[in-house]
Amino acid sequence: MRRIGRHQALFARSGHVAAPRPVRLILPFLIFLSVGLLLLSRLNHSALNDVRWRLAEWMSPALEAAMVPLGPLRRVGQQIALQVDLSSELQRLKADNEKLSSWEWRARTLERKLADLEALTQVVREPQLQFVTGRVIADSSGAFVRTVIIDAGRDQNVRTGYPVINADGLVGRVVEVGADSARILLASDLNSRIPVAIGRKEVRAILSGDNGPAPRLLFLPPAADIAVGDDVSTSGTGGLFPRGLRIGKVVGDLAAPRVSLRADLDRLEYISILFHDDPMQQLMGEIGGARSRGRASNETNPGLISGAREKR
Amino acid sequence: MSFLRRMAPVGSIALLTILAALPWGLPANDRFFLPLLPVIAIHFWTLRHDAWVPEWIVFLAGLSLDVLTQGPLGYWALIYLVAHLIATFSVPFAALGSAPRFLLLGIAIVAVTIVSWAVSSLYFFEIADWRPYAAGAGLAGLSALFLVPILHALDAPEKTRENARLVRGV
Repeated sequence: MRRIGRHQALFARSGHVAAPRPVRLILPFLIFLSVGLLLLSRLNHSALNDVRWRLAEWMSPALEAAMVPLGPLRRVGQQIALQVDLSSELQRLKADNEKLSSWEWRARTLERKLADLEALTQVVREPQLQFVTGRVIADSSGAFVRTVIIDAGRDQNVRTGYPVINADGLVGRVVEVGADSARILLASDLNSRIPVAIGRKEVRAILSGDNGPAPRLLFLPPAADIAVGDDVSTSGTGGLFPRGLRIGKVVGDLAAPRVSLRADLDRLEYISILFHDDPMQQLMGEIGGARSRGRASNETNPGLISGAREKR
Repeated sequence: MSFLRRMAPVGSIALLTILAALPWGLPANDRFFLPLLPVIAIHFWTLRHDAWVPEWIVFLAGLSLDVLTQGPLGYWALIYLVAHLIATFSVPFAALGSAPRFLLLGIAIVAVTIVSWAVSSLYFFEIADWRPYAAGAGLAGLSALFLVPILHALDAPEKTRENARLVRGV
């Protein structure tokens, strides 16, 4: 019977087709449920986001396991791509190396001068940033978002808001953290906004993602002095990102400039999370903490307030 | 029916769902075909009259992809259920042979792609760029050429044991 079932055409009358399989009642119910969830997602329901991230965190071990065979496959792919354009890459690297040798000498000289000047003017030194490196285990680039999930989380001291870089430049920032995984919002995502400085004059603007490969530059000052090819880096405004992280170069029409990112966000493998705490948040936290401590001590020892009043 | 054969539909759909979320190093606009891979499996198994592909498994596969890709919840669940519905209505034509089955799969991929494009356009209240979707459908069609034989191998009939004979009266 099984074999007959697989080759029904042999037993079917000419032009005859069987009746379709009946649609069970659960199917319209599940479609209705999906549409409901979609509407709730559109309304950006906070409870839904929380549940989604918890589920993603719960599923991350499965992704990590699936990454084990994928790793060698990706490396083979990269090797093939590397072999294809090896000669042109070699020429480019030779030229770059020559340029960089002279730049290295100049940079060392400037570094020495800067250190002397900083010592002379007693400038507060910028703290060295600590970091942790994680591996990308899921890529959600599609019609809706540009995010990746990495295998480092709260247990590795990763926190929400930390900037993320790779060897080429800025990648994005941490938006959700689990025990052993975190979600990174890429700089190209629709919801990404990064304060940037452009060119030598450090013209300020906002780098705004639109799910495309080259994010837009918004809020440029009128008649801003920028040119195609100008370097774009983080400005540090707002404190979310440290100043001076490389992002890319200005490209396209200067009426609506875009930024070609240095980091290849489509081929992320290992990325580093910088332990950079927002100084404004730290300050507000400390002020809030001091206030609450003061209130608490007054509450536990009300005599302090009345005593102070009596002294006056 | 062996346990492996019984679990093959669910296992292949689950595996392809996970594969769709993995970082393959592809450009974002070339990744549109990955979520269509489970559609191929859903279509293939729904056409098999004895395969175990309940609707809630299809729904869960879509929901898992929504969770893993951080897209809107219910999007891929809805698309996969539509794929299941299309396959359910295609069952009578599947008996006509292998070529019509491939044609049905092609039609299903195109239909599912159009639905996914329409739903994402509705979600953003603006017409989404159709080109990555079209490229995704094309790549999914090509992937089907490799994937269907693998699924077919999983669907292989159980081998009868050697020396097994029918005995009258037993």
